Amino acid sequence: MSPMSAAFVAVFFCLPGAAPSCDDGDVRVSVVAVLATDQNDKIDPKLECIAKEVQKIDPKWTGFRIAKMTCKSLPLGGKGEFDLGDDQTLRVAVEQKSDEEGRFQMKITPPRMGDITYSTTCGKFFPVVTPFRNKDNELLIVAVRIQPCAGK
Amino acid sequence: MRHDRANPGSSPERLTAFLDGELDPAAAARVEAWLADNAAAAEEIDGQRRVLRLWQANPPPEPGPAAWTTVLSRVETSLPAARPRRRKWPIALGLGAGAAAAVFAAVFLTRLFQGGPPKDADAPLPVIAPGDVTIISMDAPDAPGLVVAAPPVQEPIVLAGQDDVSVMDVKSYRDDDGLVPRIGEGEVPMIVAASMAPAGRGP
Repeated sequence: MSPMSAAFVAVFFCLPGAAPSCDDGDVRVSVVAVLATDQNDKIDPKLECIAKEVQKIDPKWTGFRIAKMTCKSLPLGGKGEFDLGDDQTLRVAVEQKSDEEGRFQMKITPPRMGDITYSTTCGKFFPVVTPFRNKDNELLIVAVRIQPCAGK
Repeated sequence: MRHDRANPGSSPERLTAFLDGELDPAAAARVEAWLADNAAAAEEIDGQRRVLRLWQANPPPEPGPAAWTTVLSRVETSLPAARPRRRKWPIALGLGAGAAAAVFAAVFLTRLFQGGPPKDADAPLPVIAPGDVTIISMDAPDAPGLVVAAPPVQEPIVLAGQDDVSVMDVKSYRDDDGLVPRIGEGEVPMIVAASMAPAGRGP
């Protein structure tokens, strides 16, 4: 394999949407930790959609960057802890598969927040603005996505 | 040689086998009986036997190494300028590249059909639509953190009056040892205010 192909494969598997191997009964949970600032207006191209939605509720956040991205395979009923950087973690539990339209019921616990239980469709990110700010006063936003491993 | 087609003992294959001594005794006896009645054929067979013995007694000489070398050099000089020999390493390299390409294609297609990552690494991460997520429960102070979803209760909290509620039944729970009313039919607000009957008395 050429170095370029090898590099492409490496990037391919590290993308937030990339799929680590998991069983058909498992679900793939992707978590992106985003840091927002009002000190610049640089927006990571991958965060354009999230930035747009966050700015709808608070326009003062003008700069958005990715701090961490993690992808884990969890069984139905399983729990996982996702590193967000700055010693913060997001707890995720895949509680059950809802009957309607292949939705899943999730429970997440963002930093300095209580449990949020929600049902969601697959394939898109659910963003939550946390109260946590790092030493540079950047605001921590978490975005969670779930995907079935079987590609259903 | 003329052969009697009706007699299987006279076929050329059988006569050849007879000459080579490959027939079993019974078959050989049948051929000899046939030859006894066919003088011309017997004479031809005798001639073949003499040639065979002569051939076995005087085998033709095999060409020696020197003769082979001479012939080979003559062949080489008579051919046009030889093409340069292809080296073997490009073939190995090609096979390796082909195997790598196959593995890469398998990985890529597997990811693709599993609904893997976006094709463009810089493509914006898709945000879920408000209608695709339903908040089931959360701490009320965390509601401002929701970006695209709404908290479970958004409407103004309106208390139900006594006329809005009729208590149907009251059961005592072992753990709580309290009284919990079951709400009557109709549209029911989230918070219910109902007059509690004294314990031990039904509605």
